[in-house]
Amino acid sequence: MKGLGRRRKYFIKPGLQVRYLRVILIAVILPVCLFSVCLYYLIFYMMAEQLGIPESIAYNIVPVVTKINLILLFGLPIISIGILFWGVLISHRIAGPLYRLEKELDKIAKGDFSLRLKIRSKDELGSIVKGVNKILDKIEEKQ
Amino acid sequence: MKVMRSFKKFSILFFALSILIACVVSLTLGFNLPKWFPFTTERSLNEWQDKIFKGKVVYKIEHSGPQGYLHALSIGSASAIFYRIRGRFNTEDYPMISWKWKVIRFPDKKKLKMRQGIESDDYAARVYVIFPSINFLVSKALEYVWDESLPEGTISESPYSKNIRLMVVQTGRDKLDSWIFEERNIFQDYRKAFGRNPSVKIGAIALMSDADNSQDISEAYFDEIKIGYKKER
Repeated sequence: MKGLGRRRKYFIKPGLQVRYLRVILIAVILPVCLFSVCLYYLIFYMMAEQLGIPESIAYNIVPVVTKINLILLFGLPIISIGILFWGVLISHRIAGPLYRLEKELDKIAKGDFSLRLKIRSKDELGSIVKGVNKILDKIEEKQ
Repeated sequence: MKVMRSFKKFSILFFALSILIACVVSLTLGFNLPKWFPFTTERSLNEWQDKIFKGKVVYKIEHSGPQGYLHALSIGSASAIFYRIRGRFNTEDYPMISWKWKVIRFPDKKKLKMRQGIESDDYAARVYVIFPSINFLVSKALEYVWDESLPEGTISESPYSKNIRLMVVQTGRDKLDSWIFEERNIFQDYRKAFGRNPSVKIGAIALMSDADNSQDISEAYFDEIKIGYKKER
């Protein structure tokens, strides 16, 4: 099961990983952005309505909004890059074993039943690998 | 698939119906122009809201025989009374505003001589025409002011924001304590002040007398404000 070193390549199955990252980004960033816009609009528009006097709005709200815009301008790209980086780190734990599984199963299908699947301790799909190895044990026993 | 199709149809129908209802509501609520505020009774102020900036200016209706008018007294304070126009209207179609005003006392500008920007922004009387936008950062305001010293016709940017422009329409003490009638073409004044046509409709007007920066007293009267009409030729 174990014995594999640290994975060097993090983009093992780009197609799958990109799809996974896209889902993460949409699932995290889109609702957050939508919610923020609504909150932003609600709070500041209500405040602007309450203050009414243009000078009062310019004096009290505009500096706050400008500051928040700046924070968002710099914060949002940093957060997005962080989420993408984290997504790649997570997705390679699925994509890596899948890639390995595909390649090894191909060899097994060609008749090499002595082969045993290996997986890293932090990788996903551990139970499937265990199951495949048990099947291979039984096949070898019968032979 | 059939369910999806009927859901789509229902969504489009619902969306179109909502827009139609919104349009009808805004049309029925809106256009009873021109708006006229004679300030004859105490109840005249019911539809106006107090908007406090720094301290509270006393706004009350006063009478002289059957005539009524709005009295504004600021003692080191700055607050406005504000009227939201429910059905916003286009300045190009209804460009005129008129009012009567009388200044009793100017805030002592000598105290502000050494000051600049925000700290020198006190006027005995101002009439605001506000162009509110959904994005309030681009909302615009045009202020007609009566100043003690600035020459008539002066247009300046507010020290608070480039979206606020001040236009001096009366100046000096010569006409102190006398009613002056003003009539302005908002569309043309906006073009003069901002250098382009208004991109949003008029959504509110406000009146103010302030003396917060000078910490002095300013006093003015306003009457017969009329907005949203075409000039008769």
